[in-house]
Amino acid sequence: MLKLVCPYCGIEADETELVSGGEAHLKREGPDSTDDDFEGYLFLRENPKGVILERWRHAMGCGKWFHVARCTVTQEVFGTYPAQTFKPPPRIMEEIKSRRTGQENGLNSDKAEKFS
Amino acid sequence: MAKSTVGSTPKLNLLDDIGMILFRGDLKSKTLQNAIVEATGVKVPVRGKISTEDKTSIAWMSPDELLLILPLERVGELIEDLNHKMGKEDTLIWDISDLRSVFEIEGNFIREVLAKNTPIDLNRDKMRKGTFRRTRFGQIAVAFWFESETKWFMICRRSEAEYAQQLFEVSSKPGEIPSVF
Amino acid sequence: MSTRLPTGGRFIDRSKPLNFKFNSRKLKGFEGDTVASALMANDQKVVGRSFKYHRPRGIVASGPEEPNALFTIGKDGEREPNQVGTITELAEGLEVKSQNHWPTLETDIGSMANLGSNLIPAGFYYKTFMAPRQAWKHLFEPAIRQSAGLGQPPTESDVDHYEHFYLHTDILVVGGGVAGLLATRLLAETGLRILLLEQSPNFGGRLVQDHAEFGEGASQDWVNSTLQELSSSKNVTMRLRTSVSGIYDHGFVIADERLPNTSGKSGYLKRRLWKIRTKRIVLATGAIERPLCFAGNDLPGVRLASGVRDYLINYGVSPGDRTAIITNNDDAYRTAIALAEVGLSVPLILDTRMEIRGTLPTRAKNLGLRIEPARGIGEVLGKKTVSGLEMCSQVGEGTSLEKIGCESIAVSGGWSPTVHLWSHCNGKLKWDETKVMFVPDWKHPPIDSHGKQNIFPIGSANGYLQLHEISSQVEQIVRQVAREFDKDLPEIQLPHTREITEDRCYGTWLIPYSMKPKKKMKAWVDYQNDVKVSDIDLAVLEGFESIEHSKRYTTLGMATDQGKTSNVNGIALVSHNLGIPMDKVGTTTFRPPYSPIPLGAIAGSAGKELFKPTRKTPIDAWHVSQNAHWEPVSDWRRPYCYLLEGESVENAVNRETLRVRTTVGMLDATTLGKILVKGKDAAKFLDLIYTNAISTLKPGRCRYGLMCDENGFLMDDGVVARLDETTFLCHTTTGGADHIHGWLEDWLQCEWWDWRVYTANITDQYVQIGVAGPEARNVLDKLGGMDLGEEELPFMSWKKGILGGHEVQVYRISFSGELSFEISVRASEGLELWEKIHEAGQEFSIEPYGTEALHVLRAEKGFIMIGDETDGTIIPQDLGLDWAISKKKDDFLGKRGQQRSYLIDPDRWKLVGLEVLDNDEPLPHGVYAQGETKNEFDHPRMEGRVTSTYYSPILKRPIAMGLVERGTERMGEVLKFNCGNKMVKAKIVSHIAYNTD
Repeated sequence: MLKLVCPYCGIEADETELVSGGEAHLKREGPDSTDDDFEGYLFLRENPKGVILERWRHAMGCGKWFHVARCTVTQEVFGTYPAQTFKPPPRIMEEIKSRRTGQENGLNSDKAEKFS
Repeated sequence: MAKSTVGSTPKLNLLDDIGMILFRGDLKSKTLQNAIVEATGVKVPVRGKISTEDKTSIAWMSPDELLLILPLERVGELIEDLNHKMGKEDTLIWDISDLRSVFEIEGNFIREVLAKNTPIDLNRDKMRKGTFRRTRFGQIAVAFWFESETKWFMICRRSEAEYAQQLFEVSSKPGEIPSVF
Repeated sequence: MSTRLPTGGRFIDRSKPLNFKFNSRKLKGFEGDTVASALMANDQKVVGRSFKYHRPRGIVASGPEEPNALFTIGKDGEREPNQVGTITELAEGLEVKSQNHWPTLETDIGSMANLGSNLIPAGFYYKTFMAPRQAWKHLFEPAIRQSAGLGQPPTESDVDHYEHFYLHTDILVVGGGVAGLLATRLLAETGLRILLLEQSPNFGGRLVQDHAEFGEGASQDWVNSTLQELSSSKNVTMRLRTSVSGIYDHGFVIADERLPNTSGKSGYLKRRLWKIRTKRIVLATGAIERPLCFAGNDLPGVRLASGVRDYLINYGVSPGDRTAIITNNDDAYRTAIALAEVGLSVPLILDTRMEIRGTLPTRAKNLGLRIEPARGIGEVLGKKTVSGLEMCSQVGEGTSLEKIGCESIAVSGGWSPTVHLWSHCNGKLKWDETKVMFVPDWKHPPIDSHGKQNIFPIGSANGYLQLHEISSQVEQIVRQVAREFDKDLPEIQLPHTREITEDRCYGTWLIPYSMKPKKKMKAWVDYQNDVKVSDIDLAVLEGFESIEHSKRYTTLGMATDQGKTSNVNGIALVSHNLGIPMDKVGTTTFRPPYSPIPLGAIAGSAGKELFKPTRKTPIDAWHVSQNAHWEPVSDWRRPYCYLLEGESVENAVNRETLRVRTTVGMLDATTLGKILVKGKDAAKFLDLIYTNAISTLKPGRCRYGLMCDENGFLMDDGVVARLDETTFLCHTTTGGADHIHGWLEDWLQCEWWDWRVYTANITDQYVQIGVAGPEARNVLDKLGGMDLGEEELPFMSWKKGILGGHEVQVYRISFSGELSFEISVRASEGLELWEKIHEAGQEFSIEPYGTEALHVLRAEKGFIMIGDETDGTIIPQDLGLDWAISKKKDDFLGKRGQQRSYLIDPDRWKLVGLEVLDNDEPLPHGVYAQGETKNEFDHPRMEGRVTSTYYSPILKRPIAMGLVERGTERMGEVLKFNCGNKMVKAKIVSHIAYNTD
């Protein structure tokens, strides 16, 4: 039963006050996209064993969507941040780095590079 | 050791003639802050709070939404005034006096009765006077705030008011209420 | 014979006798008794029958680890099966029934299984699955159903109440024994919020019955003064009878509180489920004593040594005049000493160890008790209960050296720390060879959301069984916990106690060491699930070497007690069999709940009418007064139809449908979603949300719009009204309002966050009244105040005005094909306006109509309904709605998805009408049209299905719509629908059945 800080309200919200929305930072592919790009946007998800960047909505609260960096193995949370961004803020990336020095349960290396 | 009480339980009363205005806009804007204070006499509350002056309260609903609570008869005129004062700035101001039901909760052990149905931290140092907390009550979305330990308020959607009343009644049955707050 | 002693029993109040019933026996106990202690005091030896073999079983333990004493408690609507007698408090008039026997507890036919118990070996269930299918169905299943199982689930509705309680705290201390109390007292000084939960009705744990002194004086005095101190601490909350059943992520804890029935009446608050959020958890859950595996160890009268001691000291109950002790450690000598001190006989102490040196055995020896080192039990004597035992050499094969008469055998196989809660969130365990126990591995603790250890085991839960070690251990750990909150514990005088030298326990897993196979079939490991030493041997022999496999194969530890007493012995036997060390075998996974929680407690107050919120419109009471027949539509309840006196539902629907077609009807349409969309970019935004163009809509006009998801699938539909240049009101389906509002916000917040658009779900602000039928305008004209003429208010337009004295918005839209208005008024005035319209409509015979008439009316006109014609895999093009999909727009949500090859396939099923040929019955809902050819699985190929089907009273025949392969190109073709018992023929026709112009 997770407890996440809504970055808009600044309060710890219970999982039952939230709705999850899957992987964050997906790029929308519109009418001109190739089949492969569209497939990636619509269907292909990372499902990592380790750190995931994901979307949550404070549904029983302010109604806003926010992003969370969470480890799917240990349920550690590295921080939450507003959804109006294309990549996680540096403080989140630093927190992940500081707690994931080895290879185990870290952020997928493509992502780590893309967002650093 | 936790004490138990028998008989002394809070009551839930539905309030009539409460006017409510939905106000969406850029809460950081000077125009907005001035418009609100000039039109209502109440300052825009900070995050997670409700500010009250006389019969008007303003609650922080989200980073771009306020809820104005005031006597019903003032609603029409105030909306006009606010729209005028906001000028060309993007806003959504709407009379939603009938959208939600407002309850007043009176009596002892209110925190305990609410704690049976809401996952929020109701400890006295966390849920303080001036806090406006949106959360759930059982299975419905609500918001709580209070004037004193023995006088609280709750709002929920109008269509869910009956559920809120029934759930409150069940939760405040005379019997054992563990006094923990 | 077990009986009540003339004195003693620190938990019972002899001045308060209680009457209760066990099966048909009327018995007496005292306030403070558990059901188990009262039964023992009344010499009830057999308390139940075992799960598989129906063996007679007696009480073994005194706490929640008890495997045998499961009862059905209460009667009628209070009845609860599988209640553990050792933790159920006795109450006046309590009805206790034993379980799993037929016809009676004493004479159980099922126990014949006992004779052939080798017929149900390990893996029995799996093996029978391998047998011919017929054998399972006709032979095994009926036999198992007859014999296996525990209590019967109650059939009556539960009359008692349950509730939840959410509590946030800094530190949760689990367990109110000596370690838990000490920890709480130390932590109380910090001012942090502390919650102390104890599962039993008494604080103190094992302190008082095991140790006379603690700190300055008597241990009971220490408990009392500590409790007194804590009860005056404002930051400390303590609850008794509250069992922590599970620890979950991020410091979430579930605890189950059993509330005593103080009124004695039924319908009381029975359980409170605590939902706790805590930053740190101090685990003082103690330890559980292990039984030993010897032949006949399941006979009633064989009990855990700690249990015997508890019944003696806490409840003043003698286990029998003569108690033999068998042990592999020093602790069991406490039981021997306690029995001897009250004047009961201890004929023999069998100690499996070679050397016996500790303080307690010396004390026992000084009391004149006979101690036999290196001895075990060859076999327990007695048929239904213990009558004696055969002593044997522990290192031998079990040859009887001497027969000893006794009524009771107290067993101690050492102690296992109660580490379940440590393990729920991934805390690892390690095997301590010296202590002979699995202890928490502090190198791999459970962690919180910051990656920091959040559970701290102390006392015997952490493997420290000696009282003289406890104080300093607890202090050290608790100091560490306090420091995490930046708090320092003050220097205080810790209570200490005289050191007692307890010699180490010796891991004795089989008694005797070379037990013969026949004896292994009588030596139980898991009492509740009937797992014997021989079953574990067989499982390993058949290759189930992983402990997770052998557990499932034998069902070891899988009963309601979750193997609290049996797990470690089982692991040891697997280790013994495979010849690999204990820590290589490992443990099975501990999962919540630690003790079973009743379903009622999980539901809490969400039962009966509070099971789910029912949303009601302001007209609801009026509907009730008009005898509405209800239909749930998402969370709302809506009238399906209104029943006249003696009228059938079918007739009511037909009457209401015809009323709209012939004169006028009125509908409560309040539940339809209403979402405001406003801002400079609102039109541009809605152009992307809807498949058709919204930006071209003029203020004052309405347009029917479709919303698709990114797959291109149709998600919701409704009428959009443009209120002014920058403001739109989007109507959604009843069930779609919250979802669509969330959908709009998602795109605005996460994709186009720089656009200037605000939305608001204002559904509940208004009552919406539909007035439909040829006379609709005439009714509204009677109310006066607004010109609703064709020119002033043409089709698909809206206007504001005063109608019958109310401020309203009137929308000229139609979902029935008839002249129709939807009037929107503020919710608080809704009922008044509704009644005015109803009154004004009387001369036109106006009638309210419900959702079913609405459906018939729309289906007659071929209008689609989200959820009927759509199911999340249908694109608008399938439904002939191409006209509502803009060809000009570069983009809208779903446009790219609809370009995919599968969705532009000309073979897709298309919406058509279906006319039944053979009879007057409407087609059943959802039936499929069966083609002439077969598919790749050799099943008939399906070529269509029914999506909407009704009887049309205006056409006086059934009508239907359906999706049919290339349907629109196959007009006039006849399809065969498989309606289960018959094939029904229907012709493909236009989907518009009524008034096709």
